This record gives sequence, structure tokens and C-alpha cells, in this order.
Amino acid sequence: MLDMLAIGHKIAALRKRENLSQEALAARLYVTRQAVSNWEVAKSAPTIDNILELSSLFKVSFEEILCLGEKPLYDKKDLFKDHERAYVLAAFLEGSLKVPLREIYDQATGEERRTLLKALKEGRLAASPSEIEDLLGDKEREFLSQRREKP
Amino acid sequence: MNLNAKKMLPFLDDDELHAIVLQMKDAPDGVYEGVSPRDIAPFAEEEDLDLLLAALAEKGVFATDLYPFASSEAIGKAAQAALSAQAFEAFRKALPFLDEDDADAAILAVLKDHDEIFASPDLKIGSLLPFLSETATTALFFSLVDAKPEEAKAMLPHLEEEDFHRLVEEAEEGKHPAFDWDAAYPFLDEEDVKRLFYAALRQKK
Repeated sequence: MLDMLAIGHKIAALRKRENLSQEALAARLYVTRQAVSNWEVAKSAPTIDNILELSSLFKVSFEEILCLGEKPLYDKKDLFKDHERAYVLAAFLEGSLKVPLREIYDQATGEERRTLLKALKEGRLAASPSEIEDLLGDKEREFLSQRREKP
Repeated sequence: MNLNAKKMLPFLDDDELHAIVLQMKDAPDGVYEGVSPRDIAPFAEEEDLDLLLAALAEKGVFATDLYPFASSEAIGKAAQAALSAQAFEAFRKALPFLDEDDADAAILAVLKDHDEIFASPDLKIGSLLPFLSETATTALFFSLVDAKPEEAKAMLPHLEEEDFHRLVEEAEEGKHPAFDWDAAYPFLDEEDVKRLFYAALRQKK
């Protein structure tokens, strides 16, 4: 998946390089200033047409705007910093973000923890529950110990 | 059977309960001498309740009160019958009691022969998703992508990488024109994003 926050930062950087305000960029693309603001903070995603128009306007490839081929940098102390949270989680689950389970689990929200536990339970992570044993609550332990069995 | 049949239920043995179940399954609404499926559910054996659930489902009577007491397999068959009959509430209520395999079997069987049922505006796809396997989710998504594009869009976070590859391949072939590709591209891997954008560029020329 794409890191929409990194893309938002890229759009903001390209806009500033061209000395354009959010309002001026919005006028060029026939969208609202709010739309541009939302893209830049990953509150919403530009359409495919918007990306192609930005590419033409900034004279860069759409690959550059979408940060394709760029290696994301993670702050070990705050893995989610400057990235869309769903992107970081997906990167960990697919193995492109290589950090110990404990590090990401410790920084994850409740829902993200459930996603990690589900992946752990289904054997999709090369990690052991013992790595996060002391971080688990009663319900999380119970979830990990449950097995779906046929009656 | 006297009028206090309902009150007698806790005191009947398995054979007596079985005899009542046989009468209930032949009754048009599943009620015999004032005893409903809900009344007998806590007392009868699972095998009998499975029998009753199936017999009533065949008649289009969906005894949802039996779900907590019947086997997953029997509930799955009743759920399939409910879905085929577009009794969506009875179908939805079955899902939490089904094993993933039985939920899949019910959904996939109906998808195979009557995929138009899933396009009904009365069936809320989002409420099914937590109970479906990846296989059923994929099958459901591709059956809805044209018929119910808005619901298909909401399924995007539940799809696997292979599903996105297939989706992009189909986009390149010009399929699914009504689908919201703007909502899909953030979920794609880099290679698929490129293919989708190049397809969009080709269409613009």
C-alpha cells in the first residue's frame, strides 16, 4: 500500500518549491484549498486525475509524487512518525519494516494491537508471543490462547 | 399433550423431547401445542435441534432462536437457505454462530448460483465481513465490484495482494468502469500502482 502521509509531504514540498500557496495550487487544479490541505496531511487522497495533473504542473513523474521506489525512513523511537499508521502496520506485516514485534506492539493503538495479535495467532509473523508477554492484558492473552474448533 | 406442554419441557426425557421435535418439524410454523423452537431449544439434544432447524428452513421458517444450541453445520445450511430466500436478518443472525468453513460454504454456494442476491440493497455487506474467510471475501468482492461498487469500495481494506493484482489486470482490460479506482490506488503495491496509472494515462490519450 502507499504511504499517503509521505505523499502529502511530497505534494507540500513540491508546492513550496513552486512558491505556490495551498489556495493557488487549488485554483490550478479546480479543487478547494481544503482539499489540498487534506492531501498534505493525509486526511484524504488526491484522485488519480489530481495526481496526473500535479505531475504535469510540477514537471515530475507521478512515481515521484507517489514516492514510488523511495525507501521509507523510520524513527525507531516513533515508528509511526511522518508515516500513515496503516502503512507502517502493513509494512511490518508484509515484512518490509524489519523491527522486533515488541517495538511496534509497544507503540501501536488498541486496534493496531488486535491486528498484530491476529497475525501472530494465524502464524503470519516470524515472532513469538513470548516477545510481548509482559505487554499483554488478560483479554489479549485470552485471545491468543483461543482456538477455533469444530464442535 | 396437554396445554401445559411448555411447562413440562424441563421434566421430559430425550425420547419425549424427540417426539415433540418430530411434531414441530411437521407443523407449518414449527409450533406444536404451544411449544415453539425457542421454548424447546434449551432442552432438546443438538441432533434434534439440527433436524428441526433444517426442516423449518426448508419451509422458509428460520428459527433463529435455535442458533445458539444447534451445530455450526446445521446453522450453515439454514443460513444458506435464509440467504437464498433473501431473509437477510435470519442470515445475519447466523453468522456469529458459524465456523469460518460453514460461513464460507453458505456464502460461496449462494454466490455460485444466485450472485444477484448479494446486490440487494437490503443486504449490508459490511456486517458480513468480520465473519468471512479471505476466500469468501475475495469471491464476494469480485461479484460486487460492478453490481454494488460502493459496497465493493468498502471491502478494499479486507482484500489481499493477489486480489489487487487481479483487480488491476481487469482495469487494464477496461473492466469495472463504475468502480472507484481513486479509492483503490492507495491500497496497491508499487507495481500495481504504476500499472493502474499507466492505464489511466492511456485512457486519457
